[in-house]
Amino acid sequence: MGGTEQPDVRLRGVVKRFGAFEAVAGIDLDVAPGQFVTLLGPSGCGKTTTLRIIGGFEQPDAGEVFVAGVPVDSETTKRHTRMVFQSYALFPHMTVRQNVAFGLRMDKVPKGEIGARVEAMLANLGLSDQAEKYPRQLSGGQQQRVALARALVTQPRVLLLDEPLGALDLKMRKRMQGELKALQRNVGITFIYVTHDQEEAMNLSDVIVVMEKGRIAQVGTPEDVYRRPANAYVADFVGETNFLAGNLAVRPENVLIGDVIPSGAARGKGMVRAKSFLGASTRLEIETEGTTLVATLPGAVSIATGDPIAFGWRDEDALHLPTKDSK
Amino acid sequence: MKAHSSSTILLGLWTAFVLLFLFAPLFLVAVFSFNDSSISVFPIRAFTLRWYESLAANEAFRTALANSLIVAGATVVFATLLGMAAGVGVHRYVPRLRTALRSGASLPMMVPHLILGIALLGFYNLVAIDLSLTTVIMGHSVVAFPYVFLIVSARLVGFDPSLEEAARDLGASTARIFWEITLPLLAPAILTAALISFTLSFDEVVVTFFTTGTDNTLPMVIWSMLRVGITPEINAIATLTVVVSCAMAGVAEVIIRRSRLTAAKKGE
Repeated sequence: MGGTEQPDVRLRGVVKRFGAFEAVAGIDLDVAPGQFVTLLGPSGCGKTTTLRIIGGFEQPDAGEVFVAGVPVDSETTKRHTRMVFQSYALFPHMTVRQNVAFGLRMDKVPKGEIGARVEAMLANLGLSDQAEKYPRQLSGGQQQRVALARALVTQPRVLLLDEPLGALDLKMRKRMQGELKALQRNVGITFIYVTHDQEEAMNLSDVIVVMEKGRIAQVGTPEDVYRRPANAYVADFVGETNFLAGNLAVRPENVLIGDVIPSGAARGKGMVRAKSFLGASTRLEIETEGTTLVATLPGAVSIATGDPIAFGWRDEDALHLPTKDSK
Repeated sequence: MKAHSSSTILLGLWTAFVLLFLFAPLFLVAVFSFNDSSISVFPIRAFTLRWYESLAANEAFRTALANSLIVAGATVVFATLLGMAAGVGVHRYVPRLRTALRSGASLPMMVPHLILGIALLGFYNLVAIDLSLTTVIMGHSVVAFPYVFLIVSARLVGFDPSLEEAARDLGASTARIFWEITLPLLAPAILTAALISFTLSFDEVVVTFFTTGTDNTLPMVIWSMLRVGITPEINAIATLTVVVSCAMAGVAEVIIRRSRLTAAKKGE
C-alpha cells in the first residue's frame, strides 16, 4: 500500500478501553486513497470500535488518528468521513429525498445546488422513483441504498461502513456486495468496511485487515491473506484449514486423494468418516492417526463413507505458519 | 361447539354489563342535565336547556371555569417542558442512573394526593409563599410531571441512538439534532403527555384543596355545590366536562393518526 501519496486514513498506536476491557490494543494502519479496505474479525475483536474511532464517534485513550492528513480529535474541524450504520439510521420522519438532502442542508449548500445533487445521487443509485417515500415503505436493499446515497452525496473522502449488509437475506446480500463494489469503483473514494464474514471480505476488498483481540493480525490483499496467512489465527479465520504437525497447514481444496496424487506428494492413508455432496464440490472428512483431515474435491466423487483412502498434497500447497510466539 | 357458543354468549353479556356499568352513570347525568325538573329522578318530564342557561349566568361557575383553564393550561406548559427536559437529559447524560431516576421520579404518582397536598402546604408555609392559583399550578405540575417524564422516557428507550449519531455525522449541531431529529420523533409522546397533564389538572380536587387561596377551580365549585345535593346544574357541568375531555382525546387521536396517514400516503 506504500507509494508517496498521503494516506487517506492513518492510525498510530491507537488504544481504546471500555472499563477494564481493551477493545483496541494499539493499532497502526495506513489506508491509501481509493481503496476498498475491510476490517475483518470475530465479534469483540475491536473492528467496529476502530471504525468508530476513525469516524470520530469514539475518542481513543491513546494514539493518533488522521483522516486526509487532519487529526480527528477536534470536533470543530470539518470531517472527511461519513458513516453507513448497521441499522441504516435513516430518519423515519423524513422522505428519501429529505434524508439524502440532510447532510447538504447542514453544510449550508445553496438550495438549488442541493436539489440538483440529491437528484443526481438518487438517479445514480436507482432511487428516483422512491424519492417521496418514507424509509419504512422501502425494502431492506432500498433502505441500504438510501443510507449510501445520504452519506455519499456530501462527497466525503472516506466512507465508513459498519456491517451494512448484516440485516439482509443471503441473496440480497450477494447482490448488494456486487453493487457496493461497483459503487466504490464508480465514486473512487476510500471505503472502510467492517464485517465478520470472511467470504464477504474476500469478495469486496482490495485490502483485508484481519483483527484479533484489539490488534491487527495481518494486512494484505485477499490472496495474501488466504495463501500466505501470517499465523495460525489468520489461517483458521480466513477459509478452512487443516493444521498439521509442526508449523504446517493445508487448505481442504489442496488435499489430493486416490490415484491423482503425483509422486512425492503422497502423505498417508486413512478412512473416509463422513462425506457431503455440496453441488459444486464434495467434502470429505478423512480420519487418520487420530486426527481428521478435511478435503474438498470438485464435483461428485465415487467414494463411500468407511472406504480406505490415500491422501496427499503438493509441497508448494502447504502453508508454512510461523510459530505461535513470533508475530 | 355448543359449549363454545354459550361461553361466547356469556362473554358478550359480561362485556355488555361492564360497559353499562361504566357508561350508564355518564349517560344518566347527560339525560338529567336536559330534564325539566329540579330533581334527578325518572320519569323525564320535558327537554330544557335552562340548567345550561343558569350555569352560563352563574358568576361563580364562570370564574371557576376560567381558573381551571388557566391552571390546566399552565400545568401543561410547565409539566411538559420539565418532564420532557428531564426525560431527554436523563436518557442522554446519565444512562447509568436511568433506572434509579425513573423509579425516583415516579414516586409522586404513588404518594396519595392527600399527603402530597399536606406536604405542599407545609412547604409553601416554610418558604412563605402566599397561596394562590400560582401555588395550585406548582402543585399540579408536581402531580403531572412524573407522567410526562415516564411517557417521554418510554419513547426514548425505543429510540435508535444511531439516528442522532447519523445526524451528527452529517454535520448537525447539538441544537439542530434536537430540533430536527429528537423533537419530531418525540412529538406523539409529548402530545400525549400534554393531554394527560391537562386532564389530571382539570379534575384535580385534593391537592387543589390544600394549595389554593381564595380562588376556586371548577372541581372545587362542584364540590361546594354538592353540599346542597345534586342539582341539575351539576349534571350540566359534568356533561360539559365529559364532552370537552372526549373532544380532546379525539383531537389527539386524529392528530396522531393523520401524521401517520399522511406519512404513509405521501409515498404512493
